[in-house]
Amino acid sequence: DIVLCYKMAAIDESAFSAAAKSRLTAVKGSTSDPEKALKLALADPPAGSSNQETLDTSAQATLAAMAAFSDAKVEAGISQLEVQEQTILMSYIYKILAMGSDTASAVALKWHEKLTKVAGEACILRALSANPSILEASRDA
Amino acid sequence: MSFSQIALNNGRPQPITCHAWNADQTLLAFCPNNNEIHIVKHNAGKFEEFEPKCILKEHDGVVTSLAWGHKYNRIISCSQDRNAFVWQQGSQQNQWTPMLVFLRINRAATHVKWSHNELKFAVATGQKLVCVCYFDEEQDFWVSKQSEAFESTITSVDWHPNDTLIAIGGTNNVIRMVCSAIKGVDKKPPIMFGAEKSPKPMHVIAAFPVGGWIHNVAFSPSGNQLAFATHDSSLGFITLPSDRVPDASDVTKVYIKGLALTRLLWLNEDSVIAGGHEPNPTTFHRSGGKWVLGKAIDTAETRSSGPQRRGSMMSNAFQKFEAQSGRGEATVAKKGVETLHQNAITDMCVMSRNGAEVTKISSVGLDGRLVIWDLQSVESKLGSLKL
Repeated sequence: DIVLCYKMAAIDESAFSAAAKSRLTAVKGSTSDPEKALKLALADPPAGSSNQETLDTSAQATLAAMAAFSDAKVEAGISQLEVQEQTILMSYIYKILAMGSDTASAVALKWHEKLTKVAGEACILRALSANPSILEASRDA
Repeated sequence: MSFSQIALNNGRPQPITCHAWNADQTLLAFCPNNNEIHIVKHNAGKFEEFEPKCILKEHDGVVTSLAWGHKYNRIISCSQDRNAFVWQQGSQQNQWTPMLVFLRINRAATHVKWSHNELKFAVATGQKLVCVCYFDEEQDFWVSKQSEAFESTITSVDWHPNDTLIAIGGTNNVIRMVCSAIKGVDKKPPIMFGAEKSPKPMHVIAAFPVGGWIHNVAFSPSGNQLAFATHDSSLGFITLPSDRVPDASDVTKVYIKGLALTRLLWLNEDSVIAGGHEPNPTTFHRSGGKWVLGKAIDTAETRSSGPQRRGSMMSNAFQKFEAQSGRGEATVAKKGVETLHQNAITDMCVMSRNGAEVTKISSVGLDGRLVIWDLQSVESKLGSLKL
């Protein structure tokens, strides 16, 4: 039978929430290997979740991974990411900027500049227009 | 390659929303972001010359799309004033008479395309539906058949070469294929995608989601592939299967690093060129069955050397303020933006072909400029257009 309209996949909020929490602990545990921590943090973004806490936890995990990098290694770390991961990272950067914390924003802005240099303005476009998105809790549920 | 500043208003550049060429590229129709359609005569030469010929004033709102049918020499224009008109050239060369199209929509029309046999045209609308129009002899005007309403504005429509299938894309992130056969005008439409029977007119045959707003859809010359430009800075390609309905897993995407592309043209079955918010037209090629990024054609090598004849008609002071307000730059870089188009490209058109190969294309943009790209000259200067 032909699916004639686009229905988004059903979102399992409890699975997203559990995954976010485990991501946070995993990242905090591997800050000695920043690149591994970053890959962990960017895996399985809770896109389309309507639970604000899940999104915040995921953003915290990414922030912890980003903070683990020394300034000199940031660009190398970004170049290792694939296009999809770069888009997810850019979305998390905007989410962190939206959180309003000075220390977090400093890290996010530094990464934003480097990420735009490597991935181009297209990355910003994709991060901000992604649907379903992780920037804000979805109101569809 | 050089540009021509064809849209000016009191010396300031005006955006051009759409343009269309006649069959032998002697006439150009375009809309300078108002309710008029300007027709100019094109004299090709060392510098492209454009002589104003006439202004068609029938619309009340911005003309969003133009299509020039080369077979019957008719122009179709659609506008934000919820109307479309079919223009026919009268006995005098500068006389164009509008024929009313009974669109019956209550939102803007966004895109219009003639079918390949030019007996029908399709209009994409902001009313979330697409209209297919045909000429009713008894009533002596164009009548429309409407599809059902989908989730959001349809931004683009294109005809399959068999003229009974259209692809539509919009701001709902979904591409749909709609059967566009009209009872009484077309024969029974061919069975597509392994269905059991002929599709019903104005019914959806296929639908699949793509990752973002769709700006442009286009069938390849043979109709076996569909390319579409989406807002996530990518072009998507799908080879249409013959035995089953296409779905999202058939789509391959090629991402670029610049801003989103909004218009694409098929050069041949294996090459596409696209432009948009990214003002440098970029080619895409299929090699070994996979679509990959090619070269951008606006480089220092392809631009004409020496001063542009129809150079910037703005004084330095204007340029400074333009840079500040338009691009947020505190100081003007010596040459401004380093591409022939100083702002987004809004429309691209195939100008001439040599057999199956496209030899010239034109692009217009928000900067009021028209650039004619001679692809053979570009290819000789850049080597192959593939990376």
